[in-house]
Amino acid sequence: MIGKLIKLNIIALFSGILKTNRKRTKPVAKALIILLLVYACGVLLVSFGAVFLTMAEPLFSTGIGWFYFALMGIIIFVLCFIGSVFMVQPQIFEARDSELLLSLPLKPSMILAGRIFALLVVDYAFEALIVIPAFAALIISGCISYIPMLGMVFLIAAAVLLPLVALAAGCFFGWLVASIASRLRRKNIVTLVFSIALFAVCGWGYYGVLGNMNSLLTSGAEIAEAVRRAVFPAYHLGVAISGGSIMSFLIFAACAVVPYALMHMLLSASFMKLAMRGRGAKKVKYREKAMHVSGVGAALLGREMRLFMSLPLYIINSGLGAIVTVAIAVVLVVRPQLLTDPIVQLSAFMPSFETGFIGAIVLSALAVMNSVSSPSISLEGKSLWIVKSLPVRERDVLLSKVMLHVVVCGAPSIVAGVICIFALHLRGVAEIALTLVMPVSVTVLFALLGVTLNLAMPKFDWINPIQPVKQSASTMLVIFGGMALVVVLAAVYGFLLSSALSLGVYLVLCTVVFVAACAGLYAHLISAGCRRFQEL
Amino acid sequence: MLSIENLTKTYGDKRAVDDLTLNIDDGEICAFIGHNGAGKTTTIKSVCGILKFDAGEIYIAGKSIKEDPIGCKSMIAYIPDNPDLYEFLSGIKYLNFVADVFGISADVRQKRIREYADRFELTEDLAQPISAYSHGMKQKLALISALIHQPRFMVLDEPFVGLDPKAARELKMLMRDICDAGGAIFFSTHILEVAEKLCDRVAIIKAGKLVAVGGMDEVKGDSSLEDVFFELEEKL
Repeated sequence: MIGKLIKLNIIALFSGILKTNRKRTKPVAKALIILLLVYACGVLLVSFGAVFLTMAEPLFSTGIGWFYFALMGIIIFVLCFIGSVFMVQPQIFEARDSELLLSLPLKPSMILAGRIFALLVVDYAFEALIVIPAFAALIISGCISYIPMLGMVFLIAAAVLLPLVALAAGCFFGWLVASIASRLRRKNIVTLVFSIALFAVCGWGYYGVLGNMNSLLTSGAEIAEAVRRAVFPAYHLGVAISGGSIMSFLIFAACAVVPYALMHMLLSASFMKLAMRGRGAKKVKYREKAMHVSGVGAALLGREMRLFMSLPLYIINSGLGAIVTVAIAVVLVVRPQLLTDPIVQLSAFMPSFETGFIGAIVLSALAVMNSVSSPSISLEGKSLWIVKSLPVRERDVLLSKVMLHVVVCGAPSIVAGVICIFALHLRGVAEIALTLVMPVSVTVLFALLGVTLNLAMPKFDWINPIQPVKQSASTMLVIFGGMALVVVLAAVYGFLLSSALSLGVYLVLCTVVFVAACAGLYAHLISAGCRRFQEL
Repeated sequence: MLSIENLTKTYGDKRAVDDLTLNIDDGEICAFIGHNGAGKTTTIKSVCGILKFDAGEIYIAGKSIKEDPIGCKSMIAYIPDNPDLYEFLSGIKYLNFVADVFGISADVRQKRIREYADRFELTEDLAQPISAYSHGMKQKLALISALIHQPRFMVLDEPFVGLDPKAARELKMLMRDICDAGGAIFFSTHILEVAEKLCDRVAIIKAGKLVAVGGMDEVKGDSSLEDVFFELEEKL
């Protein structure tokens, strides 16, 4: 039975990627999604491989090989934690099928175990993105010869145990947020603030490690000593693998298993209460007051905006680019030198690079990270009948979804663009115009693209709204397509056109292409898109 | 009010509705009955412009749902068999959204919400998020939102499911009031006693085809509607 529950939960977690509400997803679309997934995994594997390859030789040759595995363990923990923490809430604390499953002759602990193990499978997938390049780097660098046979056995065992501790931490964090939020009326804001804070800490840590890679290699011994004192399970993990120490492995194993077992017991004991959380929420009594009247367009946009604001995970996952854009705008106002100094260094390092266009490039690159519109059709879910039965035109419904993306992501781009112009002292007309227009053109393009793709691949039978937000085919295509677009545009200029065109002219041409693509997608959306919406 | 002409809708190889023709006049309440999977919901969704159909025509007060869907939908109120509403909104915000779409003025919407919410005993709960509503409360909210623009034609799919006795009684009275004012009602139900007492006309569907249609007395004669329904089921 437990196997069936795990399978059910895994299907629910991943069904949105390749399955849509169309009877058959087109093979080309399936192939494209698989290709993009392979590309994303490839990028991560190569990136982590490069980091481990840089570290392996210096660490093993100076006798602190354990630090290599300790770092590997820390990175796995962080990646698995981030990967699972945002799934814990919808999967465990807010799962919509809890009542259905609890009505079946199943033990609550078994239902919970099915959900936790499904998350564990996701964590193992994340872990593979680290362990595989770390192991490959050992072979390539020849440092594998430093590892005793028992250490190899401990490496395999550690790979099994590491996600347990990350999942325990993820569940604790999710429980903490859910507990605090349940006591407050504006619980979405609590979840949102916690999530953004978590992202900020992880981002700060990641860029801190990258920025200090040189000092990590030159002062490895001191940093290793600090890690040994501060993160002793990671130290024992490193010693167990690099030295084959049984005692260290047992200490590490205890550090992984005990928190997991405690978390499992705690959740098992309180699963019924967690599953029924919110049923007894304090009643808000209605008091009549003047009603706000809007036109059809404003009403539809307001509906989209309320849905967006009601789901903190939708904001975090789909509006990440906008959040970072806001952060950049704030930094440019509060501490501009944090961003202007690297630009000065860049211009010294690459004198030919026209730094006046950096605002346009960075803000446009951030704009492709937004996927607000790509799950918007799927998010109608079982309520789709409402807009289809009301006297509203299909184009108004579709354009309200486009507008949500444009408003949420375009407004920060414009504000950040204006601040960029002043903070970076831009003077040229092309620099100023591109800083304002290019990111907006990218935002509009991706807003239209998201709705178009979601119309082609909708999914309405989700259990939790986070499924279409995070795992739908249209979202995958928009996110990875955006990343691919950035790489392709940079490569085309860097390898083919940099000698023939100035950066400014190239960016103007890109903007013209984006605007033309917007016009094409808009025309498609209000004709074929509307017909497709009628068929849903 | 409603004229369905040779409606056909297929899903793959299956004909869900097969050459169905049905008329409902102003002032009539018509019950639409049939077993599960007979084609009731497909017909109802086609009438409301939610579902595209393969052949035939549907006219609402003389307007084609194909040619003028917005005009038709402006006259219709539709309640589905399962009231899946926007759980991220409160009851009052949902009603305000529907009122915005129908272009109802602030004063009028306030008055109608007050009237219908009081009748269905939902006033105190309007500030609650819909996610906190029970099935019956969602059904009541869906009914209020359907009534907010004072529709001429109501299409209801199993409207009594989940309603408490008082709300069910209110709904029956409202249905009669709409018809007395010149409107019409087309609703599906499995509760044959309700259909028998409430309706002027009845249409029985089986495997996508209408097997009986006409005035209630004409269809059931001296028997009960239940007897007639099972008789038809066995015969055809």
